[in-house]
Amino acid sequence: MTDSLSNSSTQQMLALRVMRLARPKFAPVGGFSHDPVDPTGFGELLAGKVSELSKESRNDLPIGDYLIAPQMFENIYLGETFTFYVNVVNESETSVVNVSLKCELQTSTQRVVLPCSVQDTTIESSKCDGQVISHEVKEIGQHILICSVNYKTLSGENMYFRKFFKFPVSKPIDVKTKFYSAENQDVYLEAQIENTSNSSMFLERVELDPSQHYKVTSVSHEDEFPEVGKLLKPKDIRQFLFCLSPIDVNNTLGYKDLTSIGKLDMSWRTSMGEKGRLQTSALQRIAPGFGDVRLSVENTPACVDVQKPFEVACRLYNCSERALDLQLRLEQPSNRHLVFCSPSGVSLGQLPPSQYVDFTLNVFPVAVGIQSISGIRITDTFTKRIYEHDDIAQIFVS
Amino acid sequence: MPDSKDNLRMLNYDYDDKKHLLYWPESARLKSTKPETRGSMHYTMPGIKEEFVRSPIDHRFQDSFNKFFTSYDLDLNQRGLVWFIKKGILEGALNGTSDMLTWLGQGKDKSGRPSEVTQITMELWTLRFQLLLNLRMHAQLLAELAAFEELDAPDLFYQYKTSNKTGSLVPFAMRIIHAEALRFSPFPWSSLIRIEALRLQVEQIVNIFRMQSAPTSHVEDWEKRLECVKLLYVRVLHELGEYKISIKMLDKVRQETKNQEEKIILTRALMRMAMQAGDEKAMNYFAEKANNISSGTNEMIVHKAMRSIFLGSNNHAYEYISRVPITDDSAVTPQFLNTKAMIQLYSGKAVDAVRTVCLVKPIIPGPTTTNLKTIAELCYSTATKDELMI
Repeated sequence: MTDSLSNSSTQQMLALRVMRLARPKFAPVGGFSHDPVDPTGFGELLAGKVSELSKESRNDLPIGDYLIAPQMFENIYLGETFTFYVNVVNESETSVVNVSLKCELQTSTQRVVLPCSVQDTTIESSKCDGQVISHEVKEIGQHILICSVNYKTLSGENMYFRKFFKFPVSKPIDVKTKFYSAENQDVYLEAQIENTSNSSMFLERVELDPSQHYKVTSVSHEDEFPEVGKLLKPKDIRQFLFCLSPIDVNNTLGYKDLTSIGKLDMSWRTSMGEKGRLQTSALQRIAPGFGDVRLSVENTPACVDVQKPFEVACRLYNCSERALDLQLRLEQPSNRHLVFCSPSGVSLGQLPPSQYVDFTLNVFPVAVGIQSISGIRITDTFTKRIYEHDDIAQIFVS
Repeated sequence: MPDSKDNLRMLNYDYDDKKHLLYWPESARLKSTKPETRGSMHYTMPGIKEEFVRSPIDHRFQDSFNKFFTSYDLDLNQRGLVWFIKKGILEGALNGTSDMLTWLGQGKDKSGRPSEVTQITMELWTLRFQLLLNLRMHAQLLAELAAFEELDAPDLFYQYKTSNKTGSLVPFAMRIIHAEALRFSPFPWSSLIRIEALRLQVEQIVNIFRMQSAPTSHVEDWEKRLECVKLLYVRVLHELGEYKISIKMLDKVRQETKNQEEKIILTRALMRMAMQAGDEKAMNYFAEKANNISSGTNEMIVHKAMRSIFLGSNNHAYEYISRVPITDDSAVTPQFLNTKAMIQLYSGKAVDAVRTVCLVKPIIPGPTTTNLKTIAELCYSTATKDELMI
């Protein structure tokens, strides 16, 4: 944090001290292992002295038990909380009155006044008054903490000075998303979260807050060490998978548009529990275009015996915005490995928008092997438009 | 520690008394030597590296140094080493080892030249390396340690020179430093290879002692050494940033240790490691384990206060730390006072924090003094702060 002083042409009686209160750390331990049964006795003697000098009870452990206050202004990241101790110290030999402190945080877009309780107080010689202030960082880029002090000397002279503390804020994580659409209208969201900060972090929570159209299930696996959190070292990427199922499976209209999936909500902790939290903006995906009608295979056997007929249950959705009068026509495939036994040219009736109609196909397998069902033709009798559905399912014929 | 009036038996301990501690399987290099040439070759030729300047000692202690280290007198020299270590003047002890090794023919310019490798010189080198490590003189440590290669030279075994003694002349403490030292080299990960090899060798020795039905105390001595190596492994892994493996390994040591007091210490250390890393899940896991075995103790209360700091709840932290009875002198440890001062600082009571940390006696360089300076800088006037620091 860099600072600069303004309006300091006159000798000030007060001094402003600001310290960023990042979480305290454990003081580093020198580290010394000695032979526990050293025949000379020097090892034990030395270890005892080293412990006495460092005040640590053990030097053979990776960590000590002394907390140490922050010694430098460490990086601060978006989503973390900026906490600082601001103190006004009377450096003069007389009291000063009507001391008021104002703290503001200037970013590239706004200037936020931070709550400060040092208002209209009297500070005696060599005494101080101050407080701890916290503010959640919601912007990246240069931040300037502006601390202004107003006070009055005993002779009644009004005094004023300001100090500026500049510090940058950067992004701690980078999120990349990919969508996969399943046949059953489920959507899989793969989120890749990269630690772009300089320190290791533990992801405490990565949840998808779904939009109103979806319910969500997290697809996760058990960690190697279940009692340890999800560690993400700098530049590491961790993948998360979510399965989104539409609440209204019959809502076919909405899929034609850009669909709002939901927001990713992430929270993490860094050293000594420093907490951060970020939420993405609403994730959007372009839904696959189904056209006016969508055919879904609801039920079909995976394996069938040759020359034994089987049934395929189908569902036809009207994804258009008008009612459709539909007719089912079946084209026998040229290779004749699978033969339709159902009548062709049957009317499926009037289908209002967002509605569906179920029908069943009877199929006779002629040849063995993996066979694909093709040749389903749906005709819109009003526009005479034909919707072709090929390779809608595969069946193993044995 | 022997009485100062008696002759010190430290570097010159009796072989027969410590024989089981000197046991070490013969190395391939020793096995490959011809019996008729045994004892005639010099493989290990250590010497003090002259490019490093002798460590300066405070002039107040120069007379004492001159009194202890005028010429080679093992008893007097050893007393000098003990005196300087007890005073905390490690540079003095280091210079003492320099003089002693010089008198024993392994001083400056002697590296690479044949000299007599004995129990005393090997123990002196070991002490010297321990001092260099603690004085953070890592470059010199690596340079001087290089002469000992992989600690497997034939002349580092008693049986190479004499038929009535077996075992290794390499003190176990030197093996520990030898394994760790590469951490300070440009290839810090290489230290893990040496540590793992050392762990396997010590494990093998423990098994050999058990199979030979050695006295229980002998087996226990080697088990202590094995635990020491495991802790070294954990410490180096942690230093290299391998949080997960180090915590897993220390947890294993914790589970295996039979000493209840040690178990408590390790559990709390694991809790602090998790805190330092920012791992709330592991912190809670080990906090529960620690609480189960040391609930209500002052140390556990201090750790609960630390956990509250981690969770950002300074009020709870203050509540916990207030439960430690300050009327009980044994409870008012430097760790307690330091933690209390931190909580006061983060609660906006910087002046109280300075007062608390001032109660830590004696004020010597270390984390508490650093905290004192940092917090005083925040809340004291320049004049008052200067007065305090004096």
